[in-house]
Amino acid sequence: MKYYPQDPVRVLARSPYWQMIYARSKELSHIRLFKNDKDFSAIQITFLYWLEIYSQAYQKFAEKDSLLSKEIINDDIEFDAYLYYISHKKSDKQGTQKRFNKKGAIGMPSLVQKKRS
Amino acid sequence: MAEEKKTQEQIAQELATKMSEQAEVTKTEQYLENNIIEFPYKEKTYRMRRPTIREKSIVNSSKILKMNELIKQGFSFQKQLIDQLKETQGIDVEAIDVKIARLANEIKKEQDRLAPEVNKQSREAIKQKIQELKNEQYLLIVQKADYLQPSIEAQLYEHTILQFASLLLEVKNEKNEWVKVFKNFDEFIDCTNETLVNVAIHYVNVLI
Repeated sequence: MKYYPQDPVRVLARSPYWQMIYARSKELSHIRLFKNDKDFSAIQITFLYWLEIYSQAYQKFAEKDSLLSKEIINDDIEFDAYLYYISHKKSDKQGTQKRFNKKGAIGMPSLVQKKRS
Repeated sequence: MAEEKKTQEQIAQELATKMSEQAEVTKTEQYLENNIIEFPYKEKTYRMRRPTIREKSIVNSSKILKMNELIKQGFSFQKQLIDQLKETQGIDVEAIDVKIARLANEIKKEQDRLAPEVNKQSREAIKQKIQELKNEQYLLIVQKADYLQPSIEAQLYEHTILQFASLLLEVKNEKNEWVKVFKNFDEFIDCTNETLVNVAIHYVNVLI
């Protein structure tokens, strides 16, 4: 198996230590992630973004998402693919839902939609 | 035997990569600690910090002056430069953009294949393909940036980074007070200590 370089910010964000601190900081106000609590640096903002993304991923993994495993979470390429796949599927689903709402179950425009337009 | 040796070399190479990556992770963790980065250099302690509103305003004003200066000197905006490159040198930057977008689409297609794939060997092959596409895309992005380096936008970006570096780099004096390293922008530009300047620029990119 070939080894691919990993983004250090993401390595830290998905680490059990930082995930634990992040989860606790949401519950307990005295637990802080950084020395500063405002005027965040560019790297801190990126880190906060990935902390939330990985927090949601671990949640989904705990809920037994069949597309996720620890190996996938720990690999940038595989995890990016997972993120793209689910966002893609979600937008497909939303698109279908929108089309369904617009035309109604039998493919006819609904009265509500007609009135609004 | 030769194959075994090659494997050992590969393992050693991988280990070296992992070790340098670990060092990078440690360094990153230090950057995350605070919105100020302190670092020792030649027995002195330096720091790079975030700009105040006044400092941001100084940089913005200087950016406007620089832009007028560049226009007067005959520099072109990105859009004009793209046309000039095509007309005078036959370099098609828009075609590079198309290639970058095509590669982005190919990466997405491979990602769509990778996520639901269960076969380990197929997953590895797709991963390798994605990495190759990303490398190809990266080279094109660098090539495009290289062509557009003389544009006003690129020059202004560089000027902004240098301005912040000159304003925000501080050193601890004998009284334990933080004082500016450079009195003004000219002093920074004329600085012969390339290492210190490069470190300052790097930290500006981390913080801002």
